[in-house]
Amino acid sequence: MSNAKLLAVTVERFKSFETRTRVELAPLTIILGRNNSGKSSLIQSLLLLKQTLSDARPDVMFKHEGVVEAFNLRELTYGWPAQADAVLGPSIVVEWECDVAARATLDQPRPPDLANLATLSGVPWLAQPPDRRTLRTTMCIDSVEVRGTTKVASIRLESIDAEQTTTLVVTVDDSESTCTWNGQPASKVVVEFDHFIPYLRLDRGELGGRDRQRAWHTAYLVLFAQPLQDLKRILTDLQYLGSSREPPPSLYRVKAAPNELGVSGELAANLLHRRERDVVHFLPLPDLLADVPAVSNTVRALPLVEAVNDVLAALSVRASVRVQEVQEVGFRVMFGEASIVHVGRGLGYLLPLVELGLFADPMRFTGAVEDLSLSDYAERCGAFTQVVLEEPEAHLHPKVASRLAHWLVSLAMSNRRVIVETHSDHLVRRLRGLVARAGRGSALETWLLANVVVLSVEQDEFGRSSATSSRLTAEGGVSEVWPADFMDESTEEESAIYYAKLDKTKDDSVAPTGVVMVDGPEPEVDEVP
Amino acid sequence: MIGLIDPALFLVRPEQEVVTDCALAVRACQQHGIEIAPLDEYWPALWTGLARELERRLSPNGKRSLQELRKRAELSTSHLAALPANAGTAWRRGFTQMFGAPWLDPPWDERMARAVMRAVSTGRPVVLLSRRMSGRNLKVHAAGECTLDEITRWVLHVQPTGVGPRQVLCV
Repeated sequence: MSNAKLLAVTVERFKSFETRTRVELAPLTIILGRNNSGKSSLIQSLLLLKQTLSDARPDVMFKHEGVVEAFNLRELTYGWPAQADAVLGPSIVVEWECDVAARATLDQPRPPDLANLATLSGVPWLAQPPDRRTLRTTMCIDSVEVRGTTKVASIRLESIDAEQTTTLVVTVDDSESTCTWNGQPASKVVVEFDHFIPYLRLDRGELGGRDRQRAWHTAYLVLFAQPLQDLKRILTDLQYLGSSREPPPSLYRVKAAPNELGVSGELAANLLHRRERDVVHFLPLPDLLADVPAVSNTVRALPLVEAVNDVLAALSVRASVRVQEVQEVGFRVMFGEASIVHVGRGLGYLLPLVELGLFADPMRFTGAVEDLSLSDYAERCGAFTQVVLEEPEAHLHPKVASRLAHWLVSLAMSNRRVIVETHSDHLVRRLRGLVARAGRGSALETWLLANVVVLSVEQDEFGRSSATSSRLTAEGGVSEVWPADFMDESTEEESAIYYAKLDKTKDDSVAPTGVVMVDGPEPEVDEVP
Repeated sequence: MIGLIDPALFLVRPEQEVVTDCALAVRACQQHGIEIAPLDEYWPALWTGLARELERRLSPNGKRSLQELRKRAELSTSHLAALPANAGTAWRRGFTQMFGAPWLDPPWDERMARAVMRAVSTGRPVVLLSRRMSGRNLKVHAAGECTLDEITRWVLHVQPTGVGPRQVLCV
């Protein structure tokens, strides 16, 4: 397992982001900002890649139909440029990390001369490749609209290493794509595409054993081939839940077990029905014992429906959910004795959210039924699932919205990487409260300080978005920039209410009282501290 | 123990000083079980007359620290009897030194004397959570590279009717 995870995304000329804007993606990334500031655009850059990869045709390199819907590429391009023969479109860079089996990849029938490979490829560590090595890779996708047709102009891959950064650039052309390795043309290398992911092929029979293009291709197999597969898996498995929900039916029809919950959580009921007894793993929510947060070190393994109820209870929802079969017709989702149709709307919003977090378990439905320590779980997972949530607090009571912060932390601590776009000051306040109340130097405090990023997205008067990244402080603040307006509103309102109350109250301090002020010497002081 | 707040804490000044002083006051309340009593004698004037103006100039972070202090008063369980007509005597010197001109304009000496008297009349210990200001309750002695802070006002003196003199610590 490669422990692959997304580390950052960079956008340029994408929607309201004009200039190159890089945002770090932590285990828990909270995106804040006003309406129409560009928060969703950051998420959409990832969704655009995901929906492209989900297209059945591998020659579709940039698909703008689906969750991210645009009439043409220019609609997604900053400034909505006018139609022309060629219009430069958005540029999206993803940055990820994964472990590669370096030595095994080089273990070929005719093993390469490693010293020669390292020299010709410009990758020094290939001279003595380790069994496993963690690689940090970036992929830049430059798009262009040519006579109304969306195309990818070039793909730039970089393998970032402390010693040397290796660059592979593929220039896409209608007739033939060409590539360069560290700036040198690789004319013998053939490029094939799986959507925007390039695969390099080389007819080795044409080349001598010490040919540099042969070395480049071998180095590509180590440096880029597996990371690209990992990137494809991360993006394909990315779990996204938007802020809207479809009204639930009173009766669901039986369907196959879904691989996702749907952007509106519309498949959550089907998942619960088909996977009711299948085991998922989750870290119980941090609890506030005597006002101090306590985190379990045990990842629990429970059947999906029991896990959902466990989490709902921890989120202070009393009603438990169950599936009720309606013979030969379908099934119903019940909260206690009431159908989901007849319970509060908040529960209908919350259920997919809870299920999604559980479904994002990299070890879901594998048959592993025992509880595990957190470290054993991480080791056995060997993978992370990227989860993206938009306004998870919608329709939730403030208490539940606050407890959502606990749920997000427990997810991010157990091999889910979570991006949350939110307007909820309850949620963020609790997150700050958790770090402030966690003991100084405690495991939870250390984790929160290192693994939570708060992104503040703002838009200037010209409609240009920018993002500022901050981390929490041990005192419950934000290290860099406090998101403009966010949570200030409640602070301001509290004060306004307080002052209004005082203004309405008669000021008794001006009433005459019987305190006589004397000017004489003061009595002796009993004791000076 | 009942705590009263020095109005000088809420004079307009650099935000960091306000945040630090408020944090110190909140911590003192937590550690020593001090209940900040929102006495009518001074509390409404404290907030509408001084704190409101200060709060306007603070960042959200500064505002929050002010609110934290205010919340301590909301937590208070002190329900104090109203001040009687012949409440007692207060020695002016201390009150003028702490709450008179030029520190507070118009002066707060009589207002604070009434608040202190009411708090002391309960029979419970009373402290004033005060701000140290050079020339007011602080004298700084400098010699070479060393400075020595001398606190020049530790106590306020009052005598409720029928009771002996009482001292209110300025902490």
